[in-house]
Formats: sequence, structure tokens, C-alpha cells
Amino acid sequence: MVDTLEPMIDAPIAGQSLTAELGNRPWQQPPQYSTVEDALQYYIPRLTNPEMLDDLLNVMETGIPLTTLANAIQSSGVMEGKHSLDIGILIMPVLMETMAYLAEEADVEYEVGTNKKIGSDKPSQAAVANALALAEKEITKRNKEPEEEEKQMEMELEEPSVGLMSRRSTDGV
Amino acid sequence: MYNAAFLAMNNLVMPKSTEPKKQMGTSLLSRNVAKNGTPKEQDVNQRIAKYVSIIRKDRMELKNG
Repeated sequence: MVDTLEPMIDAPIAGQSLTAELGNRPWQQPPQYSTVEDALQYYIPRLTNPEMLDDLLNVMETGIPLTTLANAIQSSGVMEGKHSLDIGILIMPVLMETMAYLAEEADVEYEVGTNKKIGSDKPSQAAVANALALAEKEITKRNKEPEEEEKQMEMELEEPSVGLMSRRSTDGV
Repeated sequence: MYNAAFLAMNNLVMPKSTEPKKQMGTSLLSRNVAKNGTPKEQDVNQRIAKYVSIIRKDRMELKNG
């Protein structure tokens, strides 16, 4: 284990969850929207709201990926008690796709945050390398096949023996 | 950092394009009602994938003009 001099401030303080009465926090209450459709009906109008949209496009222009934005949006929804964490994770792809749509509509460049661009026709480097390896294997296989065929042809075309005890040819000659 | 959005997006199984419906036969003894007329209730993942594919299709149309 690596010892760091700086304290880890990423984790919650021990007992932090006990600093408020159980049920006082919004996320400890039943969620307001219990289905993905309800949650999306809450989010989509908010994302397309002109005031919100300007800020969102500005943030996208700065290069913050859509994955981070979708994570932040759904996390705030969970903290406000709008929906459960499960619903939040389920709706993230729809939020990302909606934001990508809005960005392209406004002609704003954006970063998706996934390895490959969503919906892109361009294959990944791994897929290209795999395809090349398969093609190479296929080519070597095809090059080998004619050699084997030639050998077989040569075997068939061998001159028949003319000895007295040799088998007669099938055509009766 | 554990990127939940990245995983959610990459693990999404997109719906395949629907096959064209077979035309019903016109003979006397042929079935006159489609066998699978009522759509099955979809799983939540399938519903999400459907929503994503709809928005993506619109986005592609936007890009292609």
C-alpha cells in the first residue's frame, strides 16, 4: 500500500451519515419519480429550456465530456430526491444522447467521453487491427490452398507403372 | 474514477432494425389475423435503448441535413 502524506479527502467522514435524523435528507425519502419515463419527462424539458441550454452549451464548449455532465445531472437529481440512483444510472444514456443532439443542433463541438464517438461509422483501432489480422490469416490460407491442390494434381498425374504385376488401368487400356 | 455514464452508454444493447412484416396469405385457409399482433412488454433496458436509438436517428438526420 502506498502511504501518501496528503490526507484522503475523497471519502465521507466516518459517522457523517448519522449527523442528521434518518429520513431528513431528500434521498432518504421515497423518490418523486419512480420510473425512467417520469424521470425523463422531468429532465428533457429542463435540458431544452433556453436559459438552461445556453449554460449547458457553454459548458460543453469548454470540453467537459457528456459523461461527466450526465453524471452530475443525475447525481443532483438523486440528492434532491427526484429519483433513485438506479433510475439515474438508467437514464444517463438518454441524457447524453439528448445533449449530443442539442449540441449538434446548435453547432457546438462536444466531447462524448466514451472511447468511440457515439453513432460514429468509424471503427475503433482494435477492430481495425483484428480485421487486418483476420485478413492476413485468410490470405495465407488461400496461398497455401493452391499449393496443396497442385500437389494433389501431381499425384493424380503420375505415370502409371508398366510392370507385369501392376494394376491395370480402369479404362481397360 | 469509476465512470458510470461511460459504462451505461457502452453497455447499452441497441435494438436491431425491425424485420419487414410478412404479408398474410390470401387463400381461404390462411390465417387472417397476424400471430404476434400485440407487442410484448419491454424490459427497462430495451426501452432506454429504444429512446437512445430514436434520438440518435434524429441526430444523424440533423447531421446529414
